[in-house]
Amino acid sequence: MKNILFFLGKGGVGKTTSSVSLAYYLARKGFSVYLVSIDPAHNIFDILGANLSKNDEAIIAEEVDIDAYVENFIKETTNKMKQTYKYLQIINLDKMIEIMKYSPGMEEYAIMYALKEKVEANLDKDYIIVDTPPTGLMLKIFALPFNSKLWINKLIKWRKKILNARASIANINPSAIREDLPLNENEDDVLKELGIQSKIIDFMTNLFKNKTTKIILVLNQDLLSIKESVRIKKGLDSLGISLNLILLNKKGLVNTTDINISFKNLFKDIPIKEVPFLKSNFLDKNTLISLAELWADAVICN
Amino acid sequence: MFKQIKKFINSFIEGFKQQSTSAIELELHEMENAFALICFASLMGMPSPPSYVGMALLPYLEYEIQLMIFKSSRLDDKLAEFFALGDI
Repeated sequence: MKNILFFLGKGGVGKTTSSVSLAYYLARKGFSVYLVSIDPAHNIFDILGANLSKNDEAIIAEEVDIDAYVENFIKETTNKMKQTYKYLQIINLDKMIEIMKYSPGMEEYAIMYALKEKVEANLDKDYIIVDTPPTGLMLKIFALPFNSKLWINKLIKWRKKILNARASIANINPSAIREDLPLNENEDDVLKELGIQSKIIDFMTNLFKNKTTKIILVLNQDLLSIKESVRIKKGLDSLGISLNLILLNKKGLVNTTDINISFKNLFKDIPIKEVPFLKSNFLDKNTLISLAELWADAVICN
Repeated sequence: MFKQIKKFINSFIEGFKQQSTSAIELELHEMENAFALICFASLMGMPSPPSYVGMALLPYLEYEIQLMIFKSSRLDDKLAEFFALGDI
């Protein structure tokens, strides 16, 4: 697995700016970098439009269209359904797409799937930097493979039991089992699909737990951001995922000595780096690199 | 004469075969029914496993869904099913 860096944090703390500054820093050091935003409300190009062309130096930057992934998944399923359930061809399934798009869990799945596809396609790069959606959604994405793995493993076991029972009955009394039903594991489409899902899940759990994957929590010195960061840490702890760096961004924006003390106690096991608040509305490439220089060594292996 | 005896014995064998698998068949149908129910657990108000797992399997579960609907329609007759199983 390549060096993959995730930037997490509350909305507006500076995840995108930090991820882009690291991308520039690494590119200047001669590394090839793939920078991807999986935030449905992405803004890599909005913030750095003037700075970062789509293929700047050694950086390939991309904003993933999550809605397109959701639609694609639903369309693929609908097409498969039309092939299996022939009588559905007279019903207009397309109308259902709009409703299914907003089913719980669909967005998380689409993001997880997109992430897998993008990481796999860019394994030739030295570094992959992932700018993530704000806390709530990202924690669900982290939890999804672990939660799904549990269920998929159980479903695979269950399905194998069903196939065994079918085969045993068919062996004694063939007329008791419908002819078109699969009897062995190689013929069963359900088991095949569960196998595909299982591979995706394994890839993601490996990705999140691999030693070369670094998770950087960006936060500001305000109480809301700190409280949310504590929730992120708790959520990740419960999944066995560890944080590699706390990036205290926009330091000096608010004068809060009391918060600072409690903040340092909360994250005492994790390295903390500080990035000062800059008044300028527009950060040019050199400024961004100089910001990354303050902390990048803490997460860069080479 | 020989053919008639053979036919008579075969009908016995068939009868035994059916009787020997009927309990496993019932268990199998329950497993298939429960498999479909779990895949679409949100139908019962339980959003787990994640709905995309159910959706990914949906195209291949025609038989199990039919069975699930059939079983659900007979839920009020569970006692009769139980007696039938015990051959009472």
